[in-house]
Amino acid sequence: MSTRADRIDAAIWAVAGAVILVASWRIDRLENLGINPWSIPGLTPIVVGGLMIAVAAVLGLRSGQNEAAVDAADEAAAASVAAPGDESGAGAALPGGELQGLRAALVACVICFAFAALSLGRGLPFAVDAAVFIMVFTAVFSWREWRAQARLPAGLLTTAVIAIVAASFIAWLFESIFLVRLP
Amino acid sequence: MDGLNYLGNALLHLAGPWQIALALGSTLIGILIGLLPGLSATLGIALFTTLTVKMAPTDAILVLVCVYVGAIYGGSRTAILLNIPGTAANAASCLDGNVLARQGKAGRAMGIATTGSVAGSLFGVVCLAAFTPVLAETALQFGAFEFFWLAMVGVMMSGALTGSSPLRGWLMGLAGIFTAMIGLDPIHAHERFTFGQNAMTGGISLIPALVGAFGFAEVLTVMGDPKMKTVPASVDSVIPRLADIIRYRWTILRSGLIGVFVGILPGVGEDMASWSSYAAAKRLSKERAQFGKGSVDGLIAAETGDNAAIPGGLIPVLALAIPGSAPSAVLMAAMIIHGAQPGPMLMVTDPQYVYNVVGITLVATLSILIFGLIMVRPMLHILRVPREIIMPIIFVLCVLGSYSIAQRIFDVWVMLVVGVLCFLLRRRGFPVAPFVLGLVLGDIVDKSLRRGLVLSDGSLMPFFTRPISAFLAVVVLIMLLAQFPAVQRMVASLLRKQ
Repeated sequence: MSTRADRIDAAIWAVAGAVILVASWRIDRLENLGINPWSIPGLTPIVVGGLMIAVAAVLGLRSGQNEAAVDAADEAAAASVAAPGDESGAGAALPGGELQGLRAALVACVICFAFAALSLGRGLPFAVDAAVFIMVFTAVFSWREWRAQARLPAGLLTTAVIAIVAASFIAWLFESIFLVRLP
Repeated sequence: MDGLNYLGNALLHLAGPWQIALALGSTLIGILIGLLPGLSATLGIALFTTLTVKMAPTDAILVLVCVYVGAIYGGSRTAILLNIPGTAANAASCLDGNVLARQGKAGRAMGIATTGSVAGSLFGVVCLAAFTPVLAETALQFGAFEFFWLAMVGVMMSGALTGSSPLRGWLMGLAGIFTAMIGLDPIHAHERFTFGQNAMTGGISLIPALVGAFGFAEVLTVMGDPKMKTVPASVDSVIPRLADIIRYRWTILRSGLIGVFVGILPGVGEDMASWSSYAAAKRLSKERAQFGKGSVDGLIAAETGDNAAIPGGLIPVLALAIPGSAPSAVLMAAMIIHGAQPGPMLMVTDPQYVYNVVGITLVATLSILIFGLIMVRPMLHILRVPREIIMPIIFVLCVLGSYSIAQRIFDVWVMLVVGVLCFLLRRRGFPVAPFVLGLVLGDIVDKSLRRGLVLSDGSLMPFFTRPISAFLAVVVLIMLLAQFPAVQRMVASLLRKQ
């Protein structure tokens, strides 16, 4: 990780730790119940929040020291051209492959959320819902390859069959064998 | 003598046709999970925990242990044939295994991996049977102070050893401990961080969170990674050679010991056992120059180490309720779901259970031997199934797995949110294993800290003065101090002087 990324991460974790610390401090101490003050519900979260801030601070401080080392190295290599994908500089762009990977993960995330959070339990039988999801997911990620190989209809048909068989089997397994009432 | 009786009873029960079928089936599925790069042993156990909820407890644990052992073993196949470790535990096997495969000795390499895996597991099983009762008896003297430090050592070791930066690992461990505190406080049943939501009062259920961390996050990671070409090398004879076992007996014994020891350490998993065994073999081997160029010694050390760590990791689970690794943390959660109470009292209240686990691990070891000998070629066909088909099916299982435990849509949301967060954090270099350890051990940390302080009336002294507490506190302190460059420089200069 670059020093800049370390600093950003450290700041985010320190804020999270501070939020936990404040929220824990505000938890009821149940004084009206006369409990031992060392057993208050917020005690451990207070410690966790405090430790989170401390560890984040060390991470941030160490990134500062690393930056000094990086700066010295940069000065020594001032004449050289920055390597592609170098993340140590401010505003450095993500390498193309990584960006493409992130985009693919985002697409997968959107399809998964659409299935699990928006479509599931909204009236369609689970097997149908799952079959449509498997088919859409596979088609979206295989479309380009199928087109390049000129086997779009065959790819779609095979995927549909696999999706229907897999979704039906999973639904049957959970409903009939594990006695789960499907959403 | 009692131990042998219990083990005999366990093996008698496991010899039934249903149990044999379950063991073979789940080991095969475990091997397939291990074979597929991206699918981990932890994911396999988490998914199968949800599938086995309605089973009899012994049968359910049989399935889960077989999946666990199978996955760690299965990962060596892709490490050898494709230079891609199926699970993190098999990374060390790539170094020599793949070189052997490229030399046209893929079958021999897999035979050696089978030898190492079986020998490591058997060695670990013996240690599991021998050390669990001893450790449990010792742990009966542990109080809140010792359990607090044990849990902290687990989270900190996991943080220090599973990622590239201990600080990042510790932050994830702390996040896990915090997540475990959402819901009702275990001492006074007071709501914490629930934001007035009824669904949150039960807390963040472990299995949906684990399925999110290792299932959904894995689906996103695999889809975001560049596509790999999976063209396995040709395979010659896979039958393990007796000569190899005799020739490398000391490597097997040493790696088994290292594997079990690393497995027992709280928070350190099979991958560290594998690398430690490999490093020790490299240092002591007569064929040191061959390491990295197709050394049988290196491959056998790596495979023995990671498989010996499985039973090793089960020792603290059963005796202390402190898991040795992420997969054993999930296994411990499954044991609790099935009514067992791992910890020092288990040997007192239900000693048969401990020996059932010993017997189950033995059966799982025999199963990998069978599949290692007869199913190498057919199993490799799974690598031809594109990830675009496997991943959505895995995700459907993640959704249903999270839902089926309590049949609540809220758990599906937990899986989704934890999955996305773990995916993003992993991309930023934050390891997930310490988060899982924190999530599992958070309850122990919380209860032990507060109980300890109540017992000592607010004094921190017993946390540092009781012998075992003091030792564990020193371990934590050393891990903390090692992060400061000034301390590192001082230790280095001291070592140079010596």
